[in-house]
Amino acid sequence: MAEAVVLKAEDICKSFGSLEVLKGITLEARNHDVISILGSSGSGKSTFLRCLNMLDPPTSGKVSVHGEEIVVKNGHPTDMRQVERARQRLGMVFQQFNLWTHRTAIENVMEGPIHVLKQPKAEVKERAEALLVRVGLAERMNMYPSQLSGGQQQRVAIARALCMEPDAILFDEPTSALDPELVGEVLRVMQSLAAEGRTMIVVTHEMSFARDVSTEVVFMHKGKIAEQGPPKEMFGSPRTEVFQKFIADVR
Amino acid sequence: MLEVFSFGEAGWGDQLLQGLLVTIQLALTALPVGLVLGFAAAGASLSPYRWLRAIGTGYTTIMRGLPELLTLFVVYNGLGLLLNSIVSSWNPDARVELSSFVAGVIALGLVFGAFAGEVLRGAFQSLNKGQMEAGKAVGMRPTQVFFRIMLPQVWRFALPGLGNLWINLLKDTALVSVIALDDLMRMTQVAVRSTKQPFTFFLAACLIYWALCVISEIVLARLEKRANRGVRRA
Repeated sequence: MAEAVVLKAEDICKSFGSLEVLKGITLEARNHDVISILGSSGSGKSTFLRCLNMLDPPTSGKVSVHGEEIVVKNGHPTDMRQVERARQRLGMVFQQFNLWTHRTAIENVMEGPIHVLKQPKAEVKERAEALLVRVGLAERMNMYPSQLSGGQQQRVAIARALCMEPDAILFDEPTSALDPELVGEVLRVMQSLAAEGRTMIVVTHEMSFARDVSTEVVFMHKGKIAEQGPPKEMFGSPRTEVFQKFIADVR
Repeated sequence: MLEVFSFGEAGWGDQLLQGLLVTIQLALTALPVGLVLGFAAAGASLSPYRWLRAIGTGYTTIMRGLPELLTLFVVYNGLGLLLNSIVSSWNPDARVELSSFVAGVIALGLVFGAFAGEVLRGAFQSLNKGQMEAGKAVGMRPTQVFFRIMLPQVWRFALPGLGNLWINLLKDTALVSVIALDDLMRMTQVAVRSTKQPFTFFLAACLIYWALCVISEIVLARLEKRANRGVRRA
């Protein structure tokens, strides 16, 4: 039986001035999908991700969350309340972590549920503690982001996204800003999220994650989807020349 | 020699204390006025609308270019006249008096606001954009992003500059003595004229202003420490 569609993007185009970054991207994420988006830098993959939660609203095209279309006119969402509701359902993890530096790790995790979802503090605190334990930061809950390593900060950021209990999480190159020895700890957390059936859309350069963890791989090239499919097929027998070249270059 | 500072009929202690209280009241009333104007000016000069930016820049540029004393005269005399001409067009017999305290608050607030606008504009521009995006990404309203993420962090960049402005403000209150407000400066001058002991009283006034600055700096240091929580020392 097909799972419910969480997030749907239809024919997304995005231009910055005269620069056309996205030229019609269509993608659907169903419950429990783990979609890896690959592509060389400048292919538009991060921009596409930021279109999904309207951090960069698309110039044209449709984004729907749980079947509800986010209305965009002339490159601006018409109803910001609707956008805010959609963002509550879509977690986001950034390349640069973007933790709030004036708040401790646990305060970062609790901020959204308490002040956006208006959930009771005691309940949120319990959940936040459990999440920080889960990402391996039991000892560091009360530290400020500046006291944590990059890998630890990114794990706090993942816990922050999880604490909102989102329907899907968007990852924007979550390991690209990390020292090589710290990449593994973040990938392991992401892998465990995939294993428990979280819906994830991951822009990444980590080939092993795309190949071994994701359920679907999307390869973007010059603002379009060049190739798309299950990881086994994609990596086993790449159909397009650009993707063949991309795999070869990364190796 | 110290009996000139005694309280009661013989000395000037109570008059100086009275003046000190007026000085502190004036500075503490002008501060919030100036801060509100400063935030408004910073907001205007960072706005996407050209006409708002023009207003913000115009205000800070003009105000910063005027001598404080001149601003004070313009407010005290000019604004008084303006108010009177407005009021008398309604009722020819009515008169409004702009008190020297109110004129002082407006003038000092305008000056503080113009400089604070520049300090705050720079501080807002130094904020990390990614942290604001993270706020939006959890579904915060723009006001929540402002009050919960931007404002707590803006002090870190703005406090050193605002602290300087506060100390300037504290000292600029002395200018208000020329429009006959009985602040510390004016009470000192009255005492000097009456006792013919300029050295004693001016030195006393120096020490009091200086003490106010020292207290301010202690408070500011604490505020800065608080604003810098979570920031690694360089």
